[in-house]
Amino acid sequence: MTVSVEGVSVRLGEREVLLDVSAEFSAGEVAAIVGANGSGKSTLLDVIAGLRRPDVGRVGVSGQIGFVRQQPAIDRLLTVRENLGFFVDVHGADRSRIGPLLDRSGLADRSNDRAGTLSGGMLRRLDLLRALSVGPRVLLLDEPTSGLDTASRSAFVTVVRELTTRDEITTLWVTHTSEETDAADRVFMMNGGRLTELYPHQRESLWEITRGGEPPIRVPRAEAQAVVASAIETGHGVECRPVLIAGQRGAAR
Amino acid sequence: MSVVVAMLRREVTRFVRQPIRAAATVGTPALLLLGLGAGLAGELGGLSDAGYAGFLLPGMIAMASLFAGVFGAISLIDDRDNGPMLAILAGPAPVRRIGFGKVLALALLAIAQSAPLLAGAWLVGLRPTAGGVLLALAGIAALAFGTAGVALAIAWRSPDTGAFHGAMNLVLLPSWMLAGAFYPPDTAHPVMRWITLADPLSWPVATIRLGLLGESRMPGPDWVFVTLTIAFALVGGACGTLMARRR
Repeated sequence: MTVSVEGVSVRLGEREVLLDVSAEFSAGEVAAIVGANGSGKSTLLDVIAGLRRPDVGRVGVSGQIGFVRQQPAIDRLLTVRENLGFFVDVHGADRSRIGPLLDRSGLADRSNDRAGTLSGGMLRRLDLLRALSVGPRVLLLDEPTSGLDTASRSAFVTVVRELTTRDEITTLWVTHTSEETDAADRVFMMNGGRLTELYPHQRESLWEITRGGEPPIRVPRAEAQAVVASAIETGHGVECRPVLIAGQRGAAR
Repeated sequence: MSVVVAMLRREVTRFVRQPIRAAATVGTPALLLLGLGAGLAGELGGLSDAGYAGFLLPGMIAMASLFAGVFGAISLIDDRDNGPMLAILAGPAPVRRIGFGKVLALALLAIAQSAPLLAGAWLVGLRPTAGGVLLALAGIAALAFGTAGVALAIAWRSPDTGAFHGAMNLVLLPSWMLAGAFYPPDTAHPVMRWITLADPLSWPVATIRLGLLGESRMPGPDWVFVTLTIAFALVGGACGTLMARRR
């Protein structure tokens, strides 16, 4: 196992954010973690990354970690190449990795431009490159595609899926979108600080919500009900359906 | 060592690309030196051979160093919560080495921003000796390490920028105001004299003043304040390094 989490609990003030979480993740697999906002998904990734100490329990990670969050961890004053060079140097990794990564990503022609001049999609790509530049064995993704257009999101999912399999990376992906959960080998649900693996027949407990022209997101049933209730109250249109049950479609408009 | 060098290189690159930072850090003390030095020249001109501006200069150099440390340290908070520092902290680099790299980088930048104000000595009419200039430079370096370290120690432990501003207003700015930058501690009210003596920022200010004016204007032997200045640099730098943490 590349990542093992054993009986981890985290308390923030009066609130139990993680409750006796245990799971193991293998090399070459993508594990999607879904759950309502505030259910503890990001905290779990922080604990695995070593950014937060668990109050109880143990975390084992073998190999380098690459961490990508919603907010790109990029210095906008540095150029694309300087950003990657800085990260590689701090990790004591080999700078020769940077060139091929840039070539593959399509950012080579922007390598001497300041990161602050890149588009949102390019920044995300650079952020993924940054995480990959140190040759990680574990990739932690915390909703890294939020705000991206459909084409950029699809490209991101494809790259992560390919790299995970080819380089035998263990990828833990906190997500709400159906495209990303579909690309995962296993799906876990975080609910009230508890992590549960969803078997294929249980994935229908997830609901897919579509608002306006936005791409659909997948959320647990409780959150879907809250979204629908809010949509009825505010008069905004929202489409909501259980995942994997074709033809059943409830709508609130 | 690559961690420290990488941190240093990044901070210097960022600094070079933000000229407004240097302008703000040097501009405010220079304006204060000009305004207060000229404005109070008639009343307080006897405080040094070069008038009140000559007396003020060491305190204004300290201000530039303090501002450089504070501006640099405050950027750490966003960097740590949402920026590249977060990704670095998730990696295997020892957190204390990261902390030391940050202290070193901010201290060198603080020296680069405050040392040019030494030129003000000749502009206001002071004529320090070569040894005096070296002592003043040593005082500036010690001050830079101490203030950068203390500011970073506060930043590492601040949950957000609001908390950092609070700590700065509560600790760092009053500390500078009470460091004998504006008044000679040796002739101050006894209570004020003790407060100034206990204020760590007063030690490097006294050392710089000793170098530029030939007198520290602190009650007590000068070697004590020079020694305390070195101690301030070491303790401040150590605090900034040791307080670094992943969260």
